[in-house]
Amino acid sequence: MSKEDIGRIALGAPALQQVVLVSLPDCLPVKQWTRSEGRDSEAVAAHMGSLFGQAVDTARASAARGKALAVTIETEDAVLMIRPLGPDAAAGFVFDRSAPMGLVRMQARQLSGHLANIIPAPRESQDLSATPERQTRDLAPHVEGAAETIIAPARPSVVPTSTPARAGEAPKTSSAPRPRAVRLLEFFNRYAPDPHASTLRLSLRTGIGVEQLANPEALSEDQVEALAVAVRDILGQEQLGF
Amino acid sequence: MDKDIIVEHRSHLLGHGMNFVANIPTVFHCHHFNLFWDQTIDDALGHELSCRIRTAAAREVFHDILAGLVTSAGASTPEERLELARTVFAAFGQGALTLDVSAAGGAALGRPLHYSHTWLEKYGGWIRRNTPADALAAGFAAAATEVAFGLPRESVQAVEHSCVARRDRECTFELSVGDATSVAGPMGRLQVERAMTDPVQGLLEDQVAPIEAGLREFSRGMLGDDRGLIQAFGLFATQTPSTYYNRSGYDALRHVNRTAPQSAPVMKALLREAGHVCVFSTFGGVLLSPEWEAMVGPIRGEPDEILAGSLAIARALGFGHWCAGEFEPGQRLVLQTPGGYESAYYVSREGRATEPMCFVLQGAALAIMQLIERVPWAERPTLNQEFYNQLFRNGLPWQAEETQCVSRGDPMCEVVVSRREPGNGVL
Repeated sequence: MSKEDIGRIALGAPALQQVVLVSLPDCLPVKQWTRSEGRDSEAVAAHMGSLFGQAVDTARASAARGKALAVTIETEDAVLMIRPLGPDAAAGFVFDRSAPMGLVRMQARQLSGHLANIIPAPRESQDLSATPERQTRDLAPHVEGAAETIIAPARPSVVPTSTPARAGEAPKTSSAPRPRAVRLLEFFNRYAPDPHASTLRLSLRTGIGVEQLANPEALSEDQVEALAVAVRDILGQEQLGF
Repeated sequence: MDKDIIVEHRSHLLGHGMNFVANIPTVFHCHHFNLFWDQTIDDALGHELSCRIRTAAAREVFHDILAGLVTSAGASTPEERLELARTVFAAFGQGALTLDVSAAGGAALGRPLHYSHTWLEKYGGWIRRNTPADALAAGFAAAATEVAFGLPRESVQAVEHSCVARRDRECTFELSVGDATSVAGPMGRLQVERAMTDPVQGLLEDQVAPIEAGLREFSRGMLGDDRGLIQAFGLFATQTPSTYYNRSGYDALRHVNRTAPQSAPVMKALLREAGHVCVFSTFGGVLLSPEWEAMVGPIRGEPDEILAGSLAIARALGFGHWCAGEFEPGQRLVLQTPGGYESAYYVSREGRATEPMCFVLQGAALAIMQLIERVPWAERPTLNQEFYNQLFRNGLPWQAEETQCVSRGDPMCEVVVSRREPGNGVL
């Protein structure tokens, strides 16, 4: 799927200003489209996944029943709607505020359906040279009701191997597989609570020296395994997909 | 039972900055510190052993407090004693605990509890937790059962089965009665007084002393609200027996020294960080609070003002009689105290140290320098996690060294804060 694909889908929605597809739960932008320059999809993506999870949790804690289908934020000049595309992806749509809410809801639902259908098919094995967009896998062919599996529990089944793309750029790809320890640390550093102390915490949990953690590619297999367990436990993940 | 019973039994060791409830040393700490401290013990020992150690530490010291209060309040029946325990727990800001127990054990239910409630609030937005967070409440429930039914000290076990921090609906505990485990020696006011050295005098005393007196009076009345939580200064606070922190921290460090000595410096650095986040958040929050403005006046952000305020807060909250031995803005701070809650415990329980052991004090001294040098007070910033991460994500421009320590036999505890030398790492 290219940026142009999204643009074509957006043609029929003149109030639509921006679309950001993110992988979950790591909230990296997979693909984005904007009607005008100057919007930062990475910043949007970074907040979208957790926002959606929190909103669903809030709904659960309240009297709300049923599965969450969308999160809507209204500002003075825009409406942001986030919709799940399956267990590993979500889409955020920014509409002009002048669009009627009914139209916004309808178009976001329709666009979600189109996007879910054209996102690449599931990948059973990890290709370390794959781009982030190819790594979103197991995407549900239908949108409704998919939210449950996204947020409970948040479970990274794949992890991007390239630097998140900046607005307007294509995602960067790496040609060679990178060591698992490097990817583990990148993942951890994105989500670690108390980021100023995160390396010390990993060191204390694993017994791996702080200096060694600064060179993760040199860690032994046992050390990498210990690192994976520590990352999983600190972030409260039941399993890591890498 | 009225929470004022706690106010009646609060006392202070003047000239040493130590607080007591029923003659057991206590200190006010914030949720940032509490969570980080427990987390560090978890990181060092793994959750299972950490939870056992922290529960035992809480059980030991709350048994002493409750036993003292039960006697002076004349609470003679188990019902009266359990009601007293519930009141004490809430007054300390630890939350609301319901005890359904007999001499054979039983169950306890907590909602909210300080640890799980604040963990969820601070971290729950983006990470998950798979282990329970309320070892202190578990230890308290065990101690309350012991005292209510006259059971031997350290004979009740408590396990938390569900926890709000894990997104369960409430926190539940199972209590069972077994054989008494090893009973630690007393750690009360007498031991603290013996461990303290002669009071020291420092700079700015004419500014510090009146603020300290006002804050001490203010903190005497700090009690949990209807939820059993103390929410003030932009954070959640607790009054906690310092033995909980000391026993869990030093026991964990001893374990690390024995099983993974290469990790001991890392653990010490994290214990220092607990002190750092505590003082930065709590002291900073107090300095920016309306209560401070009402008592002292609006904060201007001058170095002497922040330093004097920090010293007064430390003394009033039970950290120790902190004094500024030297202070050169932007360059150097020498913090001195005739012992604190850490050294009092270490001297009484652990014997003579071969190296400085006041990790919270070390981190705290560093944080005072950060408050003085790096906070734009005129902008009245919100000292939240985002601000903290932003300031410290790339490390600290200062370093702290404890050059004297009462635990090592020195006449005082002294921490020197200076600019970090190039190449000096975090350890």
